[in-house]
Amino acid sequence: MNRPEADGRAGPHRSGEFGPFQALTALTDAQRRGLDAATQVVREFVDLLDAQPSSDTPPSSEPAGDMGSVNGHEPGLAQLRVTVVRALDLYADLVRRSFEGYADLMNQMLRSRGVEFGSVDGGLLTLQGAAGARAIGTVWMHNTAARRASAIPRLTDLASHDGRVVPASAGRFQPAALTIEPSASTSATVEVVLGDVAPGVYRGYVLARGLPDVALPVRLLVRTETGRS
Amino acid sequence: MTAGIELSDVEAMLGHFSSLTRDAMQRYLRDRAPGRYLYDLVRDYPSRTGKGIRPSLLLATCQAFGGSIDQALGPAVAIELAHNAFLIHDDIEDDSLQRRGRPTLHRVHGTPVAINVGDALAVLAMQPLRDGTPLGTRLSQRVSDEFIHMLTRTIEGQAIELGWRADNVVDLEPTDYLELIGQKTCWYTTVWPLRVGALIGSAGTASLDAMTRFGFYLGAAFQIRDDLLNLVGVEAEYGKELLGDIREGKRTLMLIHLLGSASVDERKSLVAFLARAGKHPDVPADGAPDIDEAAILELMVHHGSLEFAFQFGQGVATAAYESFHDAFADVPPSAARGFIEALIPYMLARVS
Repeated sequence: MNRPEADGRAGPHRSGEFGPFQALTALTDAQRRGLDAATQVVREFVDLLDAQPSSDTPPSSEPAGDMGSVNGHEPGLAQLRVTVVRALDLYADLVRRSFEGYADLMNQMLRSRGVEFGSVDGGLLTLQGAAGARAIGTVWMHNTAARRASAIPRLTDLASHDGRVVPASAGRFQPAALTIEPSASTSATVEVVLGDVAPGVYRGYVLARGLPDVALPVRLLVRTETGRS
Repeated sequence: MTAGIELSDVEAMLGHFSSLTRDAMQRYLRDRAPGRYLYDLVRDYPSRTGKGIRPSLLLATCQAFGGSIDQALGPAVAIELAHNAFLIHDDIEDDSLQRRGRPTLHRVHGTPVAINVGDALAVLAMQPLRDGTPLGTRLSQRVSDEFIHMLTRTIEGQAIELGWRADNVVDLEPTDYLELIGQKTCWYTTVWPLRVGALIGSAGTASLDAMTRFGFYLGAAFQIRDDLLNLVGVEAEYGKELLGDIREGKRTLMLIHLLGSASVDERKSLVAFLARAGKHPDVPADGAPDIDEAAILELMVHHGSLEFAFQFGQGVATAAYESFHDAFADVPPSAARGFIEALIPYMLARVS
């Protein structure tokens, strides 16, 4: 079989040709079809990008507000904008990192005093700490009613699978009483003192006097000083 | 304007940018355990030198917009790693025999191992984006968002192509082909590198829609040329087995043109061949004779499908030329800008 040349033509070999791109002025039918089809598809391509839901779209294809573009009509001004934006980015990063550094420092200091922080995951409040220390977490209360609510959060006894109990009295809330506006939420810090508590996993609830529907499951992980529970 | 830039100049700049990317990539491809069935193989495809169009386009665009190489190297490494991940999985999906002149990974080590190596490369591709130090938090976040979006679009495009082959879809137009390659090729080959290069170089102030348009045209010209090379290239330069696209039943521009130009009997044979390629058993050819890859290429030559695709690509490249001048309208002249413009004729002239 006669194999055609690498440029797709059966005629003379043209693959070595190269030079400045010559914009076509007189188009063949196939060239015109290529140009027209590509122009049509790219319009839909960009429209689709603009129409994507925010979670699936790269943010702000076009520069916002009067930021202009570096390839606008004022190169000097555009360059100045780039410089200003970079400076602002650097400043914002510096501020963010300063705050993160401060937060890390506080975290470290509290942990060195035996305080550990809990987390809420899928409606379960997990608290953890070493035996003899404390475990701390944050509880959010939501008032879905149409009137203001008062609530006094409290911890139930926390029980392990083998019958050991962390008594409710080991838990403290700060603030002890909450006032929650209609359709609003507020938080309280819960602290469990793990004085003589044996290592293990304990389960119970946070309940709230005044909010009868609130029952937040709690899992307390108590570790030995050096190992896992 | 590309006056003064030769094909060899473009290839030299591709080599320069690729070399920078490969050096930066090494820190993500270090020796570690398990080596024999994972990390030794993770380094295989990246070590097979490709053209490096994606990282080169990203780095050059960043430079053209006033940024530095250092700022863009992380994303350049990320796209090259992701590209290699795609290649491994594509080769499995297509059961390709060769990649960059050597046997494909799954042919040498088996499909399960190759899938896992592809997964590893896809995960490794995320790592360079996590080091946002050169960019700052805001730009890093935007680059990551762009990366996730690009991956999503690419995978969606690949799904459409696999679906066409699985369902033996044959009633297709050139616009269908352009929409497909817009998703599966352009996003990660040209659109993303251009958008992210401009994003980083301009510190987020450039018009990215203009980059998207130029990237689409440039990527389409790239893919059309790639499809032609698969049929009529020189295997040693092209690096993949010739006629592989026909064997796999890929809906290329030439195939779509042929489906619309063939006689009734030729079309019946062609549709039956495509059904077999798409793993449809027992597809009746309605009395039409069996046909093979070489005969299909003969038909393409006979019906002018290769010439059509070549000229169609020239039309697309004309659109790329216009959109380049829109996207880079006031970007000052530089070697990087000249290189990007020279990629338009390069896409039509390349032989590998």
